Amino acid sequence: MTNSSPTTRRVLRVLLIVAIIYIALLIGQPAGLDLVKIGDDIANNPGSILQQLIIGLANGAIVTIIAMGYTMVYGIIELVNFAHGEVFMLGTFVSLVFVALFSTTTALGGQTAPLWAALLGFIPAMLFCGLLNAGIERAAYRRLRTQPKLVALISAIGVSFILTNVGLQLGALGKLPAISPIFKSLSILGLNNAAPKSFPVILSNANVLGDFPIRLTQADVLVMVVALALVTALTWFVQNTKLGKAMRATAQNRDAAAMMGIDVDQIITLTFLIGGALAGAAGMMSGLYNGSMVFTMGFTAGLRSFTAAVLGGIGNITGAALGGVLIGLLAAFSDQYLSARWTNAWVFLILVLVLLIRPTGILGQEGGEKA
Amino acid sequence: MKDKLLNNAEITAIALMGFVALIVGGWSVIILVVLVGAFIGVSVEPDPSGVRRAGVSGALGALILVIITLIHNTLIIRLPDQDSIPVAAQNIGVYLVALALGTGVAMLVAFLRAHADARVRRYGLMALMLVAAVLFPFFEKQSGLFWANTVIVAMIYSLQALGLNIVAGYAGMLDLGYVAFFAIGGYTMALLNSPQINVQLLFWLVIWIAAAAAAVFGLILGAPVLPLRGDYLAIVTLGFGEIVPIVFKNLEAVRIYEPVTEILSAILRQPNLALCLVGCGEDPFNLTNGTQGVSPIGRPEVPTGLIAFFKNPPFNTDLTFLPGNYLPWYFLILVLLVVSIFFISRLRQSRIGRAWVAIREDELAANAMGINLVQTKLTAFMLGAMFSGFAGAFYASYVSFVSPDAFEFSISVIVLCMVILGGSGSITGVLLGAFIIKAVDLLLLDEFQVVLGGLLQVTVFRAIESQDVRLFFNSLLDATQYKLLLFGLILVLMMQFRPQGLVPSVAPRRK
Repeated sequence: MTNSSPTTRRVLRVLLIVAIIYIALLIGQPAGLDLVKIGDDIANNPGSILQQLIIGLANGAIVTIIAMGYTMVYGIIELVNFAHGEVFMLGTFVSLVFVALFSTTTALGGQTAPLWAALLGFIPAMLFCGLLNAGIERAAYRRLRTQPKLVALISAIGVSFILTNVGLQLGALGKLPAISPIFKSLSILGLNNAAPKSFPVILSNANVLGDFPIRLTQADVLVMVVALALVTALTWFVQNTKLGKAMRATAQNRDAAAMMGIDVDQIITLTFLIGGALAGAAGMMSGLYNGSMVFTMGFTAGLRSFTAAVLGGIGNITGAALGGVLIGLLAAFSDQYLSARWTNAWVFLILVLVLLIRPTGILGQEGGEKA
Repeated sequence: MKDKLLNNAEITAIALMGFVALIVGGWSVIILVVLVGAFIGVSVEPDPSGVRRAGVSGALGALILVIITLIHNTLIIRLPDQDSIPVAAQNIGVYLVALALGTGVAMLVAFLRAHADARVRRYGLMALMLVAAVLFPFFEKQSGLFWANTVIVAMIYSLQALGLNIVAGYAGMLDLGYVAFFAIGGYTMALLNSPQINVQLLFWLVIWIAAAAAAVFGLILGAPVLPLRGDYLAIVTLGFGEIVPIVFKNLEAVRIYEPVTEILSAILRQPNLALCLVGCGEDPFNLTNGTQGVSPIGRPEVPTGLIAFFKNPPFNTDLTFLPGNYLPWYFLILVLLVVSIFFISRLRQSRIGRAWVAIREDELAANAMGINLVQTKLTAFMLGAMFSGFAGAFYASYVSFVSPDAFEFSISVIVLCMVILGGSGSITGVLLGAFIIKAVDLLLLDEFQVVLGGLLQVTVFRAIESQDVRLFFNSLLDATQYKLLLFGLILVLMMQFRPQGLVPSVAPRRK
């Protein structure tokens, strides 16, 4: 093959790509990759593309906010903070308990809460998760910073297991209302520790666009607006403040930053604090949007967001936003047109392919700007 | 150190075994004194004075365990809702035997280690361990301890942990999707030895096919990830590990058309044009039965003549592989494990084994010394997958059921936990880690919960009138609900304070 002309090589290359596409179409059919079925679905209801776009953007907004935490931490200490998804899960839990404090029972027997309670709830959720994340860094990662990367990664996996278990056992709080009426609001947690917990209904499910065939709910609008605001604020903070500058310096070269008088430990703590706070905000957003939580949700949400961070270019905030939106869209379109049961497999496949083919992601470049 | 009766490590071992004695009691003391005796025998100096100290320390350790067992048998047993202890186990003779056994084992181990003949030093301990392993199930059967299942599962996981140890411990590649190969081994056994797709081959054949299938997938998945750096490799393998169970979960209604003819038929609106390849009948092809899993899976077949031979005196043993008849299962996995240990320890000493460690220590230098990185890493990946495949196939046949839920991410982490706890790169350590983790997981937490529940009832709960408050505390203080927390803590604490594990690998690691 060494002597083959460029034309032959080009032909061979095209043949290879055709072969890969053919095989993908062949074995991808059980996983929903069936062009005829997809074509039929689109032809029968062309409007659903726009609908999936909205769902994807709203989902992507939450993924983006979680991905920020991954990307910031990776940017600054090159650690895949495996526990981040679980911090997000606990953020959802805190949001749920806070919102439940202000919930009332409707005529139909369901729980409902005012919008201001949810908006106010961002504060405790962000505070709790920020402090938790910073505490995790102090307790489980700081001593390991000089060790090989895998050591801290294994420690992070350990932390994620601990937090999952905490999330499970916090469900026991649901047995408190039987003891004293003070804890009445906790009855929303139910009596089974492991069971999924429902949020009170906060936003109306009505279509903002009136009779338009495509639904845009208040929750859609709210999560997108909040996500946009958070991303903008974070970008501004990192680009325009002194602390943000210190963060970028630490990410670029920790030793040099320390020599310039930057307290590196403090900056790393700050990074974890901000990342955790964002996970807390994402927890409240997820509660508002999905209306339920379960203690195992951190793993999948974490992996999806990590995929988003890698896809966009890990260490890059804009990249994480882009990756988040893309993963949200991919998940929405896969749910609708491929098969909802295979969506996670498709997302993980993207993760694997990006890491294998272009580990720097879409926007990342080796040695470029980080954090 | 020589003046001390017990050193710190021995005190820790006795304390841990003492805790087990405290929550289990009864016949467990016999096994526990053997373990403590063996530990003391290993930890003393290998010379005649060491043998003497082993005798004294072993006796002391055994005495402590006997006293603790007495506490269980007389006091703890009176707490509400405790498991009963057989009368025979409370005989004074049992305690005397335990004392003698503890002392004897400690001295015997120390004696073998101090022996002048190198061959005795080398093979004596192995022979002793084999004898103990062979005697264990017969003792267990008589004692009514119900430890056989735990030990069998611990051995299945040992096999996996040994495999992961090749990948992560020797070659230094963190594989977070290791459960994928366990799943592939399990599902191969399930599909080729069950009514699911009407293929029922011999267990003895399928277990090799399963291991081969896992090894092939190890190659396929391993090849593309090899150039990746440490943490990226971990995440990619994690991705694979997540995809595999999803695939098994969803291959319950497969119907595949040939793509070109299918598209043509849609364009020309001629449904008959589409060429159907798989699952063309009325119902699509059900390969894995989805979340409900595959069962029943065939068990190992034994020639009827052999069963008849062992059924009669002097053996009086049923060798049929049946649920609840642990003896044949135990010996089969024991043989598998012993052969694997032999194989892997020889492999570690061989050219490829030394190449793995060289790559782990410094990839660039290893490459410069002429080690073929791709080949060496791929071999590690393939062999690691193969052992997991064996374990998966045996497991599937043992429980006669596989479902996608049995192959979650947590399994990968638990196996990793075994390797880390025991000592990455050390065969003894990895086996120890596997047994500790599975004993805690399947046995000790439950026993602990029984004792804790009893204690709470006579202390705190006596003061609490309200049933609701009791319910709350019962739920919050349920020790069996804290498994993940425990494994997580082990990972975090080991990484912080003892990254080399309980039994560090012998080969010196240069900085």
